[in-house]
Amino acid sequence: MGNTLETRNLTKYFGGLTAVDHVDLEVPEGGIISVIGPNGAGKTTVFNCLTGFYEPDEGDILFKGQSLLGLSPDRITSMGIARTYQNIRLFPAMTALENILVGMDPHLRSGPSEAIFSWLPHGPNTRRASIIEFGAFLPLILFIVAFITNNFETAYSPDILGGNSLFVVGAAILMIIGYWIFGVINLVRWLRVSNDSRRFIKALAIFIACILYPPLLYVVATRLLSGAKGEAVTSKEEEKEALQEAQNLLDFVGLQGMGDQLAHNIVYGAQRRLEIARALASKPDLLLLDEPTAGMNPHESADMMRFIRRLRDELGTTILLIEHDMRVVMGISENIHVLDFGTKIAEGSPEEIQNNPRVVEAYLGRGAASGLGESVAGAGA
Amino acid sequence: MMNDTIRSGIRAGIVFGVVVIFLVLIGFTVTASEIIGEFLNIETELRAGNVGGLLIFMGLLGLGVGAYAAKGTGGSVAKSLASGLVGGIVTGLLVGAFAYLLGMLDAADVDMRKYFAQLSSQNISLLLYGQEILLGALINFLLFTVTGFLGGLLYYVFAQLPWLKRASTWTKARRSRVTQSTFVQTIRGNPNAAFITNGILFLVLFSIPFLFGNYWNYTFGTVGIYVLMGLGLNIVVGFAGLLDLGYVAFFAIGAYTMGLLTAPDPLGIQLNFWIAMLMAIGMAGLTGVLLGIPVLRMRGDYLAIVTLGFGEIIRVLARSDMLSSFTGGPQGVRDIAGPSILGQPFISERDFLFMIIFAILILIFITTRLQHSRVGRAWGAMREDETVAQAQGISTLKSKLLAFAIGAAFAGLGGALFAARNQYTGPEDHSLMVSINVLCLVIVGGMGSIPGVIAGAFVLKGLPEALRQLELYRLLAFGALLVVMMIWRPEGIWPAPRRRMELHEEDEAHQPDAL
Repeated sequence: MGNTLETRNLTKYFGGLTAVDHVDLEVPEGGIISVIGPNGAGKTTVFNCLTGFYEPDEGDILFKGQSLLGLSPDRITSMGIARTYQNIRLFPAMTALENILVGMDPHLRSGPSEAIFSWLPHGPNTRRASIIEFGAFLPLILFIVAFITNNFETAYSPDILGGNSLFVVGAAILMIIGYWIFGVINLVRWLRVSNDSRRFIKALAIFIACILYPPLLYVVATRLLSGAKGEAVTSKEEEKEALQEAQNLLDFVGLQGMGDQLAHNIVYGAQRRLEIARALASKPDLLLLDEPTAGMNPHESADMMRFIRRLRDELGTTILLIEHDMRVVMGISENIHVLDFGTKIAEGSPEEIQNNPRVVEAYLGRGAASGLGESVAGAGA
Repeated sequence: MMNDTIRSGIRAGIVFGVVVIFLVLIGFTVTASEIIGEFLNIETELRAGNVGGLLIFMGLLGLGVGAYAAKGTGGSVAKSLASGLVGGIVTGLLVGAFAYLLGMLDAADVDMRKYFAQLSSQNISLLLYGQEILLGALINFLLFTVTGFLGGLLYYVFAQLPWLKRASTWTKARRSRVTQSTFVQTIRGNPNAAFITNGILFLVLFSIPFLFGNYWNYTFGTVGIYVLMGLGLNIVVGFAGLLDLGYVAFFAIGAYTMGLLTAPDPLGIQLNFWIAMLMAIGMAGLTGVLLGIPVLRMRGDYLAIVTLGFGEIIRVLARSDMLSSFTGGPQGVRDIAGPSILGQPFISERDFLFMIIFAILILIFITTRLQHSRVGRAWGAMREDETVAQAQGISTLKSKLLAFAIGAAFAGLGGALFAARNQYTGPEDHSLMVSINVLCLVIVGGMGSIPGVIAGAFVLKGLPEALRQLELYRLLAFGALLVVMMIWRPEGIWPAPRRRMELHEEDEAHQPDAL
């Protein structure tokens, strides 16, 4: 199995402070990997670099073989990385369901036009088709350009376009006619394919409405056609599906029936779960959990541990977590990376880490290292 | 215990005393007395103001002192009366002393108008009710003492007596019984209900222009244009949480696009109204995007300041001599064309009101659809926590630009209709005050709420038109209204249900059956 995530020489400075110093991480696909270290070791900074909040000063981050450097957080999320936060950061005044729906955003496609015209299916998927659709609006732009330049010519400026504006207008008219013809063809094809009982009335209405600007007919008819063929959905259908999916996710994290509660009214433990549900909503390949058991009692932590393992086993999500609770770390991780003052001081299986003198030293100080190694090991058992 | 009562009375007395003195200093008492006198047909006019009107006005303030003082104690009848009396006495002392002082100064021929423009001899003699100095001051003192006492009594009667409490719970129960009755439930469940209620609403809306004369149609039109702008700013501020203080810029661009494209001067293009309107909307939307690009990284206060500057830049550019051959300069653009339908000119106040109502309905439709879509959700997430929203995969770049563009396009439509209706637009139509007005109406109405925008526009633009005499004190009333709203009803007149839930969580928790 390859590595889902790899960092090479990841380095981040804050002024004169080296928060993260040449750190190499490897997160194999389907693994549960922990990053531990004392307070201020740079763990959360690593997370912030991975998710695009900070730009690393040196080094590279590879996610499924692609570099993440210079990408914005939203791009990184849509590539398949999701995260939770150390201090829970839900959208407090939104309901639990809405929080999850926001998390689904990268997988939804409805833009403003589909939202306003709820009967209009989504636009084309491919780049080529999008360019063709955009071309339908080109004549309008050309007209405006020709109009403005013409008026400038006569009133103020020296010849900008010369006699060319006639050429521009001619080209625009040809385009309009072309688009309109294809629009009519697609409208007829839609009439044949569709099983809508009022399709003839609708077609007539659309035809008349598009007289003002004929190329629009092409856009509308083509979208209706792809909708009738099942290649595209309307925003209404999409929202319905998304809502169902969000409901399922809510059930999955064990928050049945809490969908309509405002996020900040939900109890602490449930907020943690909701945050994970929101992260899962973007269907990530890699989930970054920042201290998922912070502030929980041993019983709740144990629950959370089981839950994290379930995430990996049932959804196949690779998990990278920061954690302070040694019982959780040792119980769940397959591999542990230890950071101290920004540098990686150890890496290995839980047993190896427990017996590593440098780790014990980092946690308990130099003097205590020799005598107290067992107690850390004991906490892990 | 007695201490509390007196302290509450003194506090109320000082607050109201200062307010009354302030109102006298700005001359509000004179205007108020005239309005009340005119309204009640009291014929006791002096050279300035109306004695009877002033008595009533001061008496009402006195009742306020008493009630406010009694509210502070929240106790028995004796406490209410005592604190009301104390409050009245304190206010009376303050105002009486102030009146006496003014009277003496005036008698000594000191011209106070150098310091306060409203303190003319006539106004001072009104404050003394046209009497001798000492007698006038005494009247002030006695008036406040008596009305303060009465105010305490009234407060007790209305707020403390058990029968009223019972009545209020009874109305609540009744209201919930009505909303939960089978009749109302059936109507709500009926699929045709929305259709019918909307139909009635449309009929009422479109009959408004027929019911009123030109003046009121014009006033409603102004309110309507502010509703258009409020709907746009509501998207930017209420939904997306981007504080825009230069919103007038887009209004100006809409108005100027309409003006320059249809007027004979200075460009002489004289385009058709409808095409010009579309171009005005497009142009404003485009400017929204252009402004949006540089300010994308800014948040909160910084954004507010940049947009504030942008609003001023547009106005200054429109006014500058350098561009006067292009924008008409300080004189503005005249003879802007009105619309026509099938060759029929469509330019009376009534026609414009029709158009504005129609535009409002379309914009409300668009806003609601956007609000409950993926786009609206992304805006909401951005407003709550921009960083996290971006980390959840929302392109804040696109969302912000979209909010700016749509908000600007709405304002552009408002500007285009405004310019065409007045057949004129100039730099002075697009001052900073317009931005502030629109922002205020969104806040006062309730951020993120569409009915709130309409309510806010009526309160902030409609009421001042109805109370023309108070024109002078409009800004004062604005400030006072904002302060009062922020203290007692921070969620606005007609808030979005979500915001009400946020801000009045405790109330809801205490009375779970109130819903």
